[in-house]
Amino acid sequence: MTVLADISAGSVLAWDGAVKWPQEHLDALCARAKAALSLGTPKPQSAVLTQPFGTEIFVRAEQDASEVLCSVFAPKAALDTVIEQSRMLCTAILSPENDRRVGS
Amino acid sequence: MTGTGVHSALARAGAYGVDGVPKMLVQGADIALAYVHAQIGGIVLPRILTVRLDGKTILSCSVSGRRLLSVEAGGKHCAIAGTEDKAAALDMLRQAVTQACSTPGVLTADTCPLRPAPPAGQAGISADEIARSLALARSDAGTDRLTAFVDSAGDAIHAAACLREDMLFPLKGSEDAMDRLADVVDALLEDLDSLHASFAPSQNTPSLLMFERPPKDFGLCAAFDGAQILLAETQPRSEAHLAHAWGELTG
Repeated sequence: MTVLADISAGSVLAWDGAVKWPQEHLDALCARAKAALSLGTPKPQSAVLTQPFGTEIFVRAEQDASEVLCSVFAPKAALDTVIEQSRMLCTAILSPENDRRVGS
Repeated sequence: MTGTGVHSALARAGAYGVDGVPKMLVQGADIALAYVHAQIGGIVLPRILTVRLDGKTILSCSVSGRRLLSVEAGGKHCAIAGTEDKAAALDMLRQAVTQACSTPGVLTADTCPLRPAPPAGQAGISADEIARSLALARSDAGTDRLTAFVDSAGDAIHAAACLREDMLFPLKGSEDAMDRLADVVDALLEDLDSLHASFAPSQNTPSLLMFERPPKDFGLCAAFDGAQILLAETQPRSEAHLAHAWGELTG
């Protein structure tokens, strides 16, 4: 499951995944992303939450950006791979440089 | 062992608290002794531990490095300097708790800094010795799991401290690393209650939250186990290793 969220507005912008999540679960995921990435100063660039029922990865493309890519993985996922891939995917789809390339 | 930042963070921890004063409803001396032992076993920095039953002080102890240094109860004081003192102090502790807890009541414990701090060493009685002498089972499994996590993470954790009730227990780290961690702890203290509620909604859900924050020289992680929070400065990009170590311990 991958979700693109705006944590300043607390809204889910888009999502995709093998399992369809009810809206309240998506909202809760968005709230956790906001709580994790709002902690302290400077604000975290990324956060990884591991619990017995799985791992959630929250990544923002740029410092203080409010658009966040949230990914949810089952327990025993190959985290060494998926954490880095989440960062690369976030950069690929949210980087302002890519916006300029798309627009040109 | 610790830098000045840790002492500052400790003072702030005392001011804010995480989970309030630890309380236990006791219905017998055995449970009360186990409770007092758990408090002693959780104190690393020099503290005066005061134990109350229904708000009335029954016992006051000096504790440092999880070692009992002296006991005061019923107007008597026993400092532990030799083997005979150990037996006398444990006897005083046992009698004070047993007499007070013959009827049900609510035990509470709070601490304040012990000044001047005693020199580090092997003075007094360790928590393990107390447990053996009083025939108690160890009851600090939560701390053990967080300590085991720090051990199994190895070099991925530079410095770590456990925040439990109103006390911060340094677990690992050089003075420099501990000072950096103390600064982070200090900055996050006001957020810790909401952090705990957001990421450890159940006492039965151990959670590990890892951050990458600019500058990217160091990472940060918070592990939640019951009412305890482990805060650690970590090696950048070590999330997968830490998650694996955490998963092995929490299943």
